[in-house]
Amino acid sequence: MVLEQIAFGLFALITVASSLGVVLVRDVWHAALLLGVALSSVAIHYVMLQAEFLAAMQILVYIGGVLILITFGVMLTRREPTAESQEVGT
Amino acid sequence: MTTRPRLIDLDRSLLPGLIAVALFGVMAAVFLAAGFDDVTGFADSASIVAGLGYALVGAADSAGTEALYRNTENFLVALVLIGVLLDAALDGSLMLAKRDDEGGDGE
Amino acid sequence: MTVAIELYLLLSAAVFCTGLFGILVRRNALMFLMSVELMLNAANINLVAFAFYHGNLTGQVFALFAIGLAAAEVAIGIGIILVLNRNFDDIDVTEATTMRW
Repeated sequence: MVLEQIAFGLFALITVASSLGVVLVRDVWHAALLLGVALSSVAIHYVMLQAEFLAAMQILVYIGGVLILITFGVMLTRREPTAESQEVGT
Repeated sequence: MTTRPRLIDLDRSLLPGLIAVALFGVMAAVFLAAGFDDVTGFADSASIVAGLGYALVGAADSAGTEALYRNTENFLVALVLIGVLLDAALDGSLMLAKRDDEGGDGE
Repeated sequence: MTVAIELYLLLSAAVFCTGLFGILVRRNALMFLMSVELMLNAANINLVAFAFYHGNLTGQVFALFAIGLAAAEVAIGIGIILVLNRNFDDIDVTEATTMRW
């Protein structure tokens, strides 16, 4: 059905764009948020492949576990942004 | 304070970008040249979650007679190995945290 | 007519190459962790797509194992990054050069 292909193209675009955003955005916290978008759209791809259980596991483990751990890492290792660290830090 | 998302400076990442794009080109050429059949898909009568559970405990044959169950391999040994490895990961993270606590002053 | 398998392969190749680019370019250790997550997700897309293509569940069980392993790997990685941050006051991977000869 052509509707499935439209949905696939849309969510593939979201997946690729947000994963490109993860590696291209300078701030780590913005990258973590974009990683959440990428993982959610991968879960949507699982649903379209009839792997509903894996989609649930993806959301539970990745977004509920991994993303929270990365958020801890970002918050615990963040320093006060000074002018020169904004320039140097990539 | 919220800040606008800014990109990293891209002038230093020209060579890694070229490497990644070249790898994608090679992969895309291989995938498009491979030639796949039509998608089989899952039969409607079989339960996917039940099949996953039976395959995990190594009883995929006794799940039912559908092709979905009969074509799935058993994963009992892999499940036990993953369990041991998760245990090792727990011990490793505990070791990291404990060494951090005791010897934190010295480098 | 469902989506052809080649499109899923192209999608996962794109996500994998994005993760590889992130590992090659970024210097923040947390960005390494996120890029590795992207690459593991690309592998999982492939596994699930081929499970659907062949009509059996082997790929889905493997993807389940990969999800579990990725969670454990992130837990270890966060521990290492926190120790790195404590010892070097920074998580730039080019700064930690104590054991380099």
